[in-house]
Amino acid sequence: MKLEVRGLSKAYGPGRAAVVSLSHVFPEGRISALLGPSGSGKSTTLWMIAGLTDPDAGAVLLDGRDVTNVPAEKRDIGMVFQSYALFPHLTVLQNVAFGLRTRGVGKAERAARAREVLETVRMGGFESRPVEGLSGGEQQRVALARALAFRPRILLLDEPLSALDAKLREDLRAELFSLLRALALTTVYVTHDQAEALALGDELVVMREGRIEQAGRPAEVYHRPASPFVARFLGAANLVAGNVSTRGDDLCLPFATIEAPAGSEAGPCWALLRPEDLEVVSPAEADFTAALASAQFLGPVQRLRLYAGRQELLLDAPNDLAIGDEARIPVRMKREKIVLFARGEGETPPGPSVPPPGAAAVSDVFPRIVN
Amino acid sequence: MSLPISPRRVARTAGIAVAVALAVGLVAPLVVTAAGAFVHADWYGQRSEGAAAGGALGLFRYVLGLWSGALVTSLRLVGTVVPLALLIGTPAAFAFRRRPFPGSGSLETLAMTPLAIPGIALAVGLLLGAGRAPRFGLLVAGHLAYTLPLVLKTVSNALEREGADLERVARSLGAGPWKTAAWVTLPRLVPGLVLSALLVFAVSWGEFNVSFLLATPIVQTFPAALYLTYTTNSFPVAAAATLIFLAPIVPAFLAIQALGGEEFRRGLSV
Repeated sequence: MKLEVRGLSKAYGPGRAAVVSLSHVFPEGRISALLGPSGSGKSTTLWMIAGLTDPDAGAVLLDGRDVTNVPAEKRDIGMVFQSYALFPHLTVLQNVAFGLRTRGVGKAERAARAREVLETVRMGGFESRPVEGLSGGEQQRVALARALAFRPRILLLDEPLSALDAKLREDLRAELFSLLRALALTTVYVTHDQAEALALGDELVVMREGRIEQAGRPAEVYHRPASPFVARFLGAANLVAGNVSTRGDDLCLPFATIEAPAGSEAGPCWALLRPEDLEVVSPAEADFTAALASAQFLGPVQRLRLYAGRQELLLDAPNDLAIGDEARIPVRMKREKIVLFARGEGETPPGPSVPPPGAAAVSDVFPRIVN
Repeated sequence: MSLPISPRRVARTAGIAVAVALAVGLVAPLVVTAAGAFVHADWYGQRSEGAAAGGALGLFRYVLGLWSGALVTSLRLVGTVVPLALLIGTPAAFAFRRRPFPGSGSLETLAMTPLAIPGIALAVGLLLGAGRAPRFGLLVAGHLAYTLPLVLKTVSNALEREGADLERVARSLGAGPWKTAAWVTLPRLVPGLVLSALLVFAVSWGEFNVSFLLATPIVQTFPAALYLTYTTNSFPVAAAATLIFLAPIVPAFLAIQALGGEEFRRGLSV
C-alpha cells in the first residue's frame, strides 16, 4: 500500500505550527524512519496519517485515494503508541483480538488469529494473562501484535522503544527490526533516537520544525547530509567555519589549507568533518597537529578531544592506538569524506548540538583545561 | 540523650486525643438517638405515642405507617435522580474532558456553582421560575443541581486519570465512537460510575434545604418529614424515624469508603 502526504499542515494555535506543508511519498512495503528532535512535528505527522489528529490543510492518500476525511477507525492503519495503551480490563488475547472484534470476526476465528500473531511476536502462552503485570518488553510485543492482528494496510509506530530502559531497548531493537522487515508492510516509524533510525529505516526522513529537512537512504543521509542541522543531528560532527578560495580550488580552514572538494563554490562555508573522518597519522602525512585535551575509551573506538588552535575537534581513533604523552597529535583529514555547506558571514553552527555519546566528562565542565 | 517524653510524641498523643474526641462527639448524639428508639419513652419524661403498639418493633411499625408517604417520595426521588444524574453527568464529563469546545471550561465551572448556592435560594429560584411545574419535577431539578457536580467531578477525574490513549488506540483498531464507548471507555469508568451513584444516592437521600422548601403536605421527602417529626412527635418516634433514615445511608458510605475513599476525596477537591 502506497502512503502519501500532500501539503499536510497543523498548528496548535496561532504561532504554534507543528507541521508545515509537509509532502512526502512513503515507499511501498518499506520502513521509513521519521527522525527529529522533540517538537519537530514527527508525532503530529503520524497522528494525522492515522486520522487521530485533523490536519488544518493538506491530504493523506492511501494508494492514491484521499482518506483525509475518513475517520481513523475506517482507515485500516495499525498503530503502536509510545505508551502502548493496552486495554487494562482485557486479557492479552482479548487485546490482540480487539481489531478483529471491531470488524465483526467470529469469536473462534479471532482467537485463532490472535494466537497466531502472538506466536510471531514470541508471546505464545501469554494469551489468558491480564496485561497488568507484563514487563515493558512484553507490553511492547502485545501492542505490536494488536496493531498487526487485523492485517492493517499501513503500520505506524510512535517511539515504540522509548519507554524501555537502555539495555532492553538494544535487545528488542534487533528483534523488532527483523520482524518489521519480514512483514514488508509500508511502515512509518517515529523516533528521536538516531541510532534506531539509522539501523532500521529503508528510508530516513529527518524533520525539523515541522518540515522535512532531508529524506533518503540512511547511509546517504549520513554521508551526504543536506544541511549542517542534519549533519549534527545524525551522529557526532565537527563543523568547522572555513572559506573556499575565489577560484574554488582551496579550502582554507583555521588550522590547515587543503584542496577543496571538486565543484566547491567559492565563499564562506561549513566543513563537516566526522570524528571517524579524522585520523592520527605519522607527522610526515599530517595536515595539521592538534593538542590533546582528553581521550575517552568508548569500546570500539577511543574518542579524542583535540584543539587545533582554538578549534575543538573530535577524532575517533582505533581502540588499540597508544596515545602517549605527546603534546601535539598529527592529524589527517579524509578528503573524500568532507562535506561543505554554504555559510553566512558571522554565522554560528545551526541545529541542535548533540553531545557525543557519554561525553559529559570533566572536559565539558572545564573545556579550557588542556592536560 | 533522649527525653522520656519527646515533643513529637506529645503532639501525636494530642492529635489522637482530638480525633477520638471528635469522633465521640459526632457519634454520641447518634447513640442517644438510637437508644431513644429502643428505650421506653418515660425514661425521657415523655409519653410515647407508639409505645402503645408494643415494644421497639411496634414503634418502628408505627413510624413507618406515619411517614410512608414521605418514604415513598424519597425512594422515588432517589430512584429518579440517581439514573438521571448519571445519564446527564457522564456524557457531559466526557464532552468536557475529551471534546472540549469554545466556552466549555466556563460551562464546566458554571455546572459546579450549585454546590456554593444556598438551598433556600435554589428552591425559591425554582418556585419563581417554574412554580407551576409538578412538585415532584421541581424536587428532581433541585436534587440534580446538587448531585450533577458530584458526577461531573468524579467521572472527569476518572477520565483524566485514564487518559485518552486507550480511546485513540480503540479507534485505530476500527472501533467507532459507540464501540469505543461500550468496549473501552465505559468498562474503565465502572468504578467511577458506581462511586458517583453512591454519592448521588447519599446526597439526594439526605438533602434537606431544597426538599423542605419545596415540600407540600402531599409531596414531601423523608428528611423534611424527619424535621416535622422532631418538631411535632415525641422523641422516641423521631429517634425511630432517624434510624430508618440512616438505614440506607450507612451502607452507602461504607461502600464509598471501600470503593475508594481516596477517589471520593479527590473527586470533591475542586
